[in-house]
Amino acid sequence: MEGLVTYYEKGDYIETETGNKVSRKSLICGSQNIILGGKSIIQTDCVVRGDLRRSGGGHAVVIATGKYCLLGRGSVIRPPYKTYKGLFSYYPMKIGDHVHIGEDSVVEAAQIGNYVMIGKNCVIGRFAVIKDCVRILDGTVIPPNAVVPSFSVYGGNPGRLVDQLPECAQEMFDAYTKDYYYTRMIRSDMK
Amino acid sequence: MSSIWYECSCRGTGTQVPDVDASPPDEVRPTLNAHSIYRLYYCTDCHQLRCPVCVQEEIVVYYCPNCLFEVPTASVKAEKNRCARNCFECPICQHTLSVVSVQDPAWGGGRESPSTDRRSSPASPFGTLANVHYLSCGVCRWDSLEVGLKFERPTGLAMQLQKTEEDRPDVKEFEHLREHFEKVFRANAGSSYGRGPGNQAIPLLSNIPGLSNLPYMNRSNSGSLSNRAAHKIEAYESITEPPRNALEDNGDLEDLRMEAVTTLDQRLFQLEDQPRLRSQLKPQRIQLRTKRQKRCRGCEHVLIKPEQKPQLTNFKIKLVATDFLPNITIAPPHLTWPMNGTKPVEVAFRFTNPLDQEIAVALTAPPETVAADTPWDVTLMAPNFTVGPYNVMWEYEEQQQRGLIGYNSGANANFGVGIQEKRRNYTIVLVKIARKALEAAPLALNHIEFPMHVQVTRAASNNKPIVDSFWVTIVLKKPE
Repeated sequence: MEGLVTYYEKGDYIETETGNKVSRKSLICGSQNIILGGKSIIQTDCVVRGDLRRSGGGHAVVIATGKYCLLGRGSVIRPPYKTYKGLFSYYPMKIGDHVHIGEDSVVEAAQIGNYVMIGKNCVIGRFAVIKDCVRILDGTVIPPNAVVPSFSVYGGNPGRLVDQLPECAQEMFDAYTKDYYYTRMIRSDMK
Repeated sequence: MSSIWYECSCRGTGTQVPDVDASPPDEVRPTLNAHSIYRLYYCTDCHQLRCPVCVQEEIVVYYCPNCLFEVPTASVKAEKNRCARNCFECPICQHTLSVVSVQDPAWGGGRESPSTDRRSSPASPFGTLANVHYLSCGVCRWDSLEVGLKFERPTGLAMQLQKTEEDRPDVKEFEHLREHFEKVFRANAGSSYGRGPGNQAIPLLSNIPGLSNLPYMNRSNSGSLSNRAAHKIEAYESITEPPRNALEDNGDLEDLRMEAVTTLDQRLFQLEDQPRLRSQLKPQRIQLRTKRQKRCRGCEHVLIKPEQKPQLTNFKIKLVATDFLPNITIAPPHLTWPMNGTKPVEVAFRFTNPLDQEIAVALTAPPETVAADTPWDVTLMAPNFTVGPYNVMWEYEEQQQRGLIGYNSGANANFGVGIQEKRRNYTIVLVKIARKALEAAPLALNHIEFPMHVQVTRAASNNKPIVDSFWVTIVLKKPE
């Protein structure tokens, strides 16, 4: 069945030149440290903590996303932290292209690869590394320092391998994320 | 959720089923043989769909899912399919364990410094302290000190455990068995090793040493000489006793607490002794995973060939069904549930063409003999239609030209009988479904299922058109 279209009012979302759509009702902290790859969507009530940066001067990128990403409603994206040799610091978080993060998920991973679908109500622990082409089912808890290899489907608490993705997963996710950006989030005056 | 299931021509048997086109799928509901198009492969030589059952798999590379390091095949056998580096699994919750170091309290230290990678402990002003390294789980807070497992160095943990592993009774028994069978096999060598009836070499047999020595194999060749040699080998004697029967330990039952007993899952994870007590659980090395190459069972053509390196996700050869066959989805407007009465409803199906040439699609409903049993009357309003080619230049278009924006499909011209929309590389056709009579089962109110035969024709370079045909089971369900 083909998906449902959500319409939004023109004033609700900020649209940038690179095609990013950021909701005005989302909480973006430290926007100068956040890089959005282009054609990404940040939905309402999403919390992106770009202000949690490692101490030290200069320009630092705390959170970087790729193209065609979706940070779902109510999700929390914050960088992972560690106390190493008595020093507490935050580490940068890198998200790849075509990554969809579901509603109300909390993501503190160190690195998320390309073509990753994360479900609703998930918790991705600190310093988790999620490789390309992965699907995380709804409600999964990925423990800290976990490594999720490519083409896996992880579910449960703690997250375990549940299924393997088919080889065409990359095209499948690519088509889905592009279709989402172009046809599922429509401005109400452009219906 | 509504879905479209594609039937592979093997119908789950793994071999070619004759006269597939005339016979619709056996049962009305999708069987285990029905797959989503994303799971199917397409052989370009046989021009057939292949499902995960009718492909042959061969292993390309073994890798550890934690450290993503490739393991050479020789080490795989030696290390018993487990990671030989520092990857261990918690016996309680099966999460990856991290290596933690602690300064030995005997030297006046006691400061804990967790290290998730293999860094050696920092030098301290007290001089070189004895460092204790152990494994700790981030999820359930278990650590290997609970079972008394400590390491001297933070790296090469598997090496440090190798001695204790070799002393395990099941490993020793296996080695003893292997030595015994090697003697038997050497005694029978030269007579019937690796050769089947008619003295042809059987490659599979030669891969499994000792298999050809089964009495069944010896029948065809002159066995008298080899049998005499076999009798010279003594009968096998095991060197370990069978494990103590746990049921006899009734005396422990009064002292046991729930927290000290292992669950069935935890016991089955440690197969060598399946301990009852939590204090006997040991961290297991992580099992390796594989990347596989898939071949068509009919013509041995390679369908899927992944890259050798575990970190890469692309494929050298990738013949998946989504690249060759039209993807069928259910287009809006969606049905209103529940379906009442016998009034016919129209369902719109979108056929999306992945190829860069035009295809002609012919739909047929199942023959009357089979359709008489089903409660649904299916009328295909557009049994023959074409779908346009896919143009890669559409990827670079502006948003205005894509999707629903700017399109006003309602006001458009007539595309033909039964065709709702025909644009770019998709065509939306209508199918009318009516319930036959109200005596149909109540299940039918929220659930419609029927098979449909699809035939796709496309032009080939040598002017002979290629025809692909397959059955599809359509399942329409009320969304929860």
